[in-house]
Amino acid sequence: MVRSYIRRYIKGLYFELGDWLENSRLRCSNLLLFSTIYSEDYMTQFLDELLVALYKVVIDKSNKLIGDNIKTTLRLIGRYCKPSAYQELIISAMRNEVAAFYTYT
Amino acid sequence: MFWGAIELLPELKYFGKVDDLLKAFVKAVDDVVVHGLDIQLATLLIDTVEEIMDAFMIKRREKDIDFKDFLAPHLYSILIMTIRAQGVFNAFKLDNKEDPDTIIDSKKQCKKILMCLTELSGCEGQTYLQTQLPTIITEYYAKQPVEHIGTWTIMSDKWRMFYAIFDQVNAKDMQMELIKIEADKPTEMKQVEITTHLSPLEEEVKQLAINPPLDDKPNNFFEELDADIMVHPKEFIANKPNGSIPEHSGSDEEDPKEQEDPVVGDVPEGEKPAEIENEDKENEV
Repeated sequence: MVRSYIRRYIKGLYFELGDWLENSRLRCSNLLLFSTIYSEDYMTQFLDELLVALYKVVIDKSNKLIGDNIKTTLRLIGRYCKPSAYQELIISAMRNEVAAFYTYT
Repeated sequence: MFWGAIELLPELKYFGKVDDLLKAFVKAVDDVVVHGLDIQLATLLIDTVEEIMDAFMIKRREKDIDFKDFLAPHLYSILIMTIRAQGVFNAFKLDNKEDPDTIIDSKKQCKKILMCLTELSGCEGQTYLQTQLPTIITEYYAKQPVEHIGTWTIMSDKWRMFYAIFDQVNAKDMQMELIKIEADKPTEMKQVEITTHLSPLEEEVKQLAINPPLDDKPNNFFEELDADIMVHPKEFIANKPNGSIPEHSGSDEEDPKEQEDPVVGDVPEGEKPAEIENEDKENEV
């Protein structure tokens, strides 16, 4: 059920994760976490954009709950997806080669 | 993500699946991240390394797996990352300021990582840092010429790294022998001729600067000028016949057609145009 619906709202989550309202970000991180729990390896197809959205939020330490949700989401992605699927994405981000993905710096 | 990747692996033989990921991570940090460390980046790096170390430590305790051989190629790089990050965290101390709480927490994380490295490397009787100390000093400092060391600023990464290392060693560690290295041959200073492509004009200016032309002209430039110009205008007028101002005697004669004024020429002599007459009257008033 979740797998069939996540495609419809996951792009909205990328934007909502960076919302200026803390409450919205908290709800969004919760939804993303539970979507990942139910989708498992189905999340592989969204990794390219999802990881870029998460890079921006994982630095934010203003709210501990959001931080914990994001960390758990990343841990679950690491558990369900193959390392070869996200290795290139992460390493290229570390080498600062995905600057084109960012809407602002 | 790395934690999640190794979370469900039951035995050491399956860890080959994440070996490439760890190698790529360490290489990317060595190549790019370490060279641009600031406090924020160092905090993120230490957070990440701590998560990785925690993952291995939990796995080691749960399943009693020995990661000594698996991690051996990466331990030194992780140690250098930690020391360099620790050096960045010393920025406040070197500036005679108190460390903020975030920096104190990060320093604690660094110490925790160093303890994890000691446990994972299987060193007995001494820490992993102590075992690698001669290598670090040899690699980063022994090859440096003394003249270069004097030019480092207090906030340079090598001084901060040096400070971070000696913050954690004791008197016994200072007596360790360094690894013998062959002294580099002194490099001969060669005068390098810089060749640049100059435009013809630049080339000419350059030649003039090198070989200035002989000055044939007289020193007093005014001597060559016409003497009439040097005379005072009143004397000049007085010397002329009839005391009149000489008429313009240009070599180029004016075209007779140009002399005819088309507007004035229409008015007969002795009569002024109406506009000029009005102006004269206004001036008189």
